[in-house]
Amino acid sequence: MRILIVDDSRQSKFYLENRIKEREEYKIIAMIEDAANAELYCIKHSVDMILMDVCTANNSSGIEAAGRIRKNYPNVKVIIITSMPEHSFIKKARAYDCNGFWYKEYDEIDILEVMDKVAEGNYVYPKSAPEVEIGCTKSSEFSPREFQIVRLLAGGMSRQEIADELGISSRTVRFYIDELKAKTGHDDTMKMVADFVEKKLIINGLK
Amino acid sequence: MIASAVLTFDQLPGVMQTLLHIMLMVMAIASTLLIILRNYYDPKKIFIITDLVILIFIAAQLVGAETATMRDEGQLIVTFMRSCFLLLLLVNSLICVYMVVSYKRIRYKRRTTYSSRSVKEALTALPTGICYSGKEGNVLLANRAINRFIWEMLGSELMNIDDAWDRLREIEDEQKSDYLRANPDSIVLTMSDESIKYLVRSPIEVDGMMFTETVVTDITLLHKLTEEARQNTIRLKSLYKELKELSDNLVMINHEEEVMRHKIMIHNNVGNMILFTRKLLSDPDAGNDALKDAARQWKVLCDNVIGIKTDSEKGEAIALKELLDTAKEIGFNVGIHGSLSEFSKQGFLVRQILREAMMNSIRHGGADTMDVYPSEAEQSLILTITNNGSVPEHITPSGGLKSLTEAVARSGGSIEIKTDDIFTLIVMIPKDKEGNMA
Repeated sequence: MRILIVDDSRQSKFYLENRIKEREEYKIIAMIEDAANAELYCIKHSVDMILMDVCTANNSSGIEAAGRIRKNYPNVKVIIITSMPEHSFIKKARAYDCNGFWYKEYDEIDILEVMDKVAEGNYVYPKSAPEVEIGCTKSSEFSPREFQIVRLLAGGMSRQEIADELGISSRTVRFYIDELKAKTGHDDTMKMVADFVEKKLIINGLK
Repeated sequence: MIASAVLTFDQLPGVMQTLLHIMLMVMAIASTLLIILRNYYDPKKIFIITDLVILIFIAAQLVGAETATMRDEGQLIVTFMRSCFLLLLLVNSLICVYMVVSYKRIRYKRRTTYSSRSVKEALTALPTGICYSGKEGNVLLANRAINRFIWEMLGSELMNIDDAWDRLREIEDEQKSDYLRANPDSIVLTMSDESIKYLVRSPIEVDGMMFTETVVTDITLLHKLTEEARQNTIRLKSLYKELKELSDNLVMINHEEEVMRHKIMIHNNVGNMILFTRKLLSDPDAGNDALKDAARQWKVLCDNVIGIKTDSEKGEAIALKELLDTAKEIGFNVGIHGSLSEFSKQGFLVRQILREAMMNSIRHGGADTMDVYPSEAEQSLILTITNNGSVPEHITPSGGLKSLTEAVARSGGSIEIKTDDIFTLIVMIPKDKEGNMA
């Protein structure tokens, strides 16, 4: 099986390369750093499976690239790999019909095991995103809407702009923000959002 | 019988007559006042007529009472009215009740009805200055507050509001304030006591006639709060911007953290290898295999050190090189005939264009070679791209080409496709804009 590794971390590539070398049935055909270039391999039918990092070189989103590849080349299997606990990655990966999802630092299952199961035609996903502490609570305590609001705050939007974006009232946005602050124990909105961003629960800026 | 049993006025004792005189006079005065107040506050015809009749009746009683007392002194007797005293007393009582009720009604009307006087009183008491003027600016109605304001600002009385307005506008221009105003046809002035006055005028129509209403309001507190809110908004926007930058840079920060961890790991590994190698070299029993193994590990370590340098040199040139290397690896040749250095600001868009052109030429034209000719016009940069694939008969932008067209359009550029002898893609990107992917 021809494997393409898309990861801009040398350490990560080094690790994956060494693990995959243990299996003769897997052959690494290339290791690239920019997810946007992965589709070029697919167009030449040169790859069977891609291990795709989410945050790749030049701010290219591995999940978006995976979505295009799965749509245009359904025979190519894609396993998303990441070290970030960003809560929306798993959901997006599923939406794009990616074959697998693996956390570099959090997953208990080995990457080779994931690859084996995906090669057999299975979908392999962790039960949930890793739990991260935000203030005095855990990331599993937040609803999707709350994550959405924090993401928009991290994008520099004001309360009214968020309300317009989500089609809700400004008062409702304020309610959500107050709820988030109460849950996390932060008394300042900016500090709370910065906590989400620093803990990599919210990643903006990917293209 | 009945007549003989009833007293007439002249049969009453003197004290009683005096008292009755006084009562009738009081009633007459009250009735007169009632008519005046009624006319002012409750001018209903029926009530006015009733009041007049009552007044005449009271007057008749007065005259009758006078003539009755004068009769015994031998003066000319004018008998105006002779009737039963008790009956008169009853009627007068009813008249008193009527007057009390009327006064209550008038008092109620006075409280609840506007009159021109009450309007003027209210206007005078207003802290806001207000003035009504006619077509030529002549003042018809002005309250104390606006008069005081005009006196303070212009040193003269308010005679014509249009003239005053022009002079106030000149003062506003001299003050050169930058207050925000909701109405462009308004004046904002700073007074000598640092308070801020806001003047606005508007036309009003009353009974088909046009007047101008000019209002002067103190907005000192409003201005202070608005200014505070504005400063807070600026601070908040700055915070939002910093947060966005943090969020946008997180990917880069994360990458740099990984590079740092990698460097620390290599540093530790180099240290360990130095100690291990020193021990190996000083061990006379160390075999060739051990030395070869050590050499291999040093090579890996050196590759990692070189890798750090490469990681640090990210930039548009490296990104483009990676794209071209990828193309080469899949057997596709890309020739760049010119310099793309001018395109460095639009690097992301340029790579998207090249990538999309490559994929389309392979997918639809079976090409294996693509040539790129960068050029420059006065306001734009141009990329002309050709390939050696077959030329399609008809092109409908969809999928990648469609999203590329949209991305180029967002950056203010355009795409032209020519299908003459060879397939040619001409992309024009404005010079001063950065290209961003959807």
